[in-house]
Amino acid sequence: MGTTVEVLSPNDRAVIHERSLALLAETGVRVDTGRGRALLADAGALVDESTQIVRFPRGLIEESLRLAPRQFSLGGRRPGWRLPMNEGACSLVLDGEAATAVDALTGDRRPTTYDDWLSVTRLAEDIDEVGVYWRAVSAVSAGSAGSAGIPGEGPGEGPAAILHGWRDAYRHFTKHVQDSAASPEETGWLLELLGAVFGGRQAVRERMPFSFLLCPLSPLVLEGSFTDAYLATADWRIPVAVMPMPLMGLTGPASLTSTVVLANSEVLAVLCLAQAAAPGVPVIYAPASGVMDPRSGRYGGGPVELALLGSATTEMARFYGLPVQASTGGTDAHRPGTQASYERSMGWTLPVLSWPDLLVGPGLMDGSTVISVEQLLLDVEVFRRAARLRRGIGDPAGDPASGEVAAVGPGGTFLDRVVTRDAVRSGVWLLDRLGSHGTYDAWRAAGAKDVLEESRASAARMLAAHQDTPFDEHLARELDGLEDRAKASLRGTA
Amino acid sequence: MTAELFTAMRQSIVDGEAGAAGDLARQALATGVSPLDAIERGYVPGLTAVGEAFSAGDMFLPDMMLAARAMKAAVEILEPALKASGGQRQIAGRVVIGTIKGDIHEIGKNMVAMMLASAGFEIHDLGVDVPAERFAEKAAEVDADIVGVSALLTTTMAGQRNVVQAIVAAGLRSRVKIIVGGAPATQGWADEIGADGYSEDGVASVALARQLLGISA
Repeated sequence: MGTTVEVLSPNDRAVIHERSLALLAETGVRVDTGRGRALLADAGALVDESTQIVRFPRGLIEESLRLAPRQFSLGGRRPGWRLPMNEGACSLVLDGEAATAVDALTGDRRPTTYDDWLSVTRLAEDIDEVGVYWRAVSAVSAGSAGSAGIPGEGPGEGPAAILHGWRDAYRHFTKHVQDSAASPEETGWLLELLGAVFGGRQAVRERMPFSFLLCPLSPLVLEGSFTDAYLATADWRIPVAVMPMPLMGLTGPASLTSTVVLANSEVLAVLCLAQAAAPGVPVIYAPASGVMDPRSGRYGGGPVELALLGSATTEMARFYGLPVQASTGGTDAHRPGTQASYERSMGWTLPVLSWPDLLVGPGLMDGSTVISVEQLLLDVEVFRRAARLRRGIGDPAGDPASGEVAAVGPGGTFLDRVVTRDAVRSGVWLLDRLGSHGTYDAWRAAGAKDVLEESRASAARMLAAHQDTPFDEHLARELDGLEDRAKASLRGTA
Repeated sequence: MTAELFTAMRQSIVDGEAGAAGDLARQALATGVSPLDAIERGYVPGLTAVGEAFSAGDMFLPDMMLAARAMKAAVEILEPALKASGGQRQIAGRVVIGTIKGDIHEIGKNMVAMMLASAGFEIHDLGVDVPAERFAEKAAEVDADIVGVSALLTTTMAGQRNVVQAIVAAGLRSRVKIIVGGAPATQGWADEIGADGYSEDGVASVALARQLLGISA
């Protein structure tokens, strides 16, 4: 059987659900978009226009939950590639958005650049465990990005820079892309890009190559422009990943369960809005609940409580039958090493055992502000180990090796058995990609490399072997034209 | 009697009891205690004690925030009487503070503002989503000593550079210190954009502001 961990009992989940319904019905959510309030009012919510507070009756929430699809697949540009939700798979989502790069061996830090973004994106493209793109690096070094800090090949501003960032994402990453637009105008450019790359609106609706990351502002606020940006996708059936980020003790109450209630309420509020705008649109349950450092008020990426929150997130999504994207921080360490490794290992083991569909995210440190390609590969290795634990000890009733002891008999060996060979091939053993697992002499003979040096060498090999999947010339020209129009719109000449 | 009152005032700050701090302020006014004495000899020692306990790891940020809130409650009651008596609490400096354009996160900025206010700085809070030029306008208007710019997002922190440029363009650079903060900000980032300082949290911002203005703690 697979290994399972539950941090919430069935009764706990029911209590959290009921507390959420009460919060949404009595306190409500401030919805800073007129369009959103109108949609919710039409759907049966109680709207106070003077305060912009929307209260959600139980019936509206239950009907909205009924409308949200339980199973669908995220797609991408790679032919035949799909990421099924709620079908037992778990895939990594890159973290975002590092403003600083660190040299794993020396600890030297510098502002991130476009090349950092490119390296991380190319590695993620080639790592099977990573299924979803986030902009892991926000290129902030002067001359390497536009005003919005968007990766790109040159400075730019406004919609053209943002559009170029999305184009670059699809050019270098052929699996699923998850991102946000900040305004309906940006969404317009995004949809044009998706239509061009994937062959029109209907193809996008069916293939789902993009999901919209929408973050309520904890506690209990749906921001105006950001939410309107999502609502502008309504005709395109773009899945929405709802990611409130309450910080226990700061923007969330000072207990883990009450923080879960808050995040759950915020997801349900957006779920109601999404279903009011486009009934049947896919919703991914994706709270990234965190905890404040009580000494500074800062977000902490390394607190062990994040693991409990990550598991609780997954369990509440399963309570509703919704696909889930769990986040468990990462590490507070400033560079790869002992602290980063134990915090990541503790932070991921529990949530992976709860088994979300998607898990954010490898590679970043220092409260998700610092990138290291070495850490990216180490984190993937942690995930592989945790996923092996999840796969479990096996089924004693259907065990292919059940007759082996009798067949070999007293005093024999199992080494030359077909069952043993097949077991190695089938993943009974997790075969490590990194780290020293042989003899000391062999390790010395190979250069006595530290795991960080080994990880760096591995990343270098992967990048050297990487092959881009460029757009065809016709599409590239079409996207050039789109970018030109975006630039012209900024100059007011469109 | 007055000594006992000052002790109680100090304790109200240490305990973070805004109600008690306010009651004691009213009691001071009713019994003729100088408002300036109440602040300087009653409440400020409480803040100092909380700051020392925080630095020693014996108190945490919620203690600091509750202490600051209690201090604010007391000062609000004492301030009218202080002005009426012609007295004036010495201002450590004038600070214009806000969250940069495109960014609506305000808690970190508010924490810094509250800590600086508790430490005797005069705060002019511009709120969130503030254009770079607005920082410069306000700094000129109030003759600010310090401009503080907050950004939580890596995508908006680039705007902190714009504030530095706006202060330069307004001809204020020589007399205004610029400090930056927010999760993605670092000392290296502050150096790169030409800011004068960076602090990683509200508590450290007080030390930074004092250091930039040459004030001993």
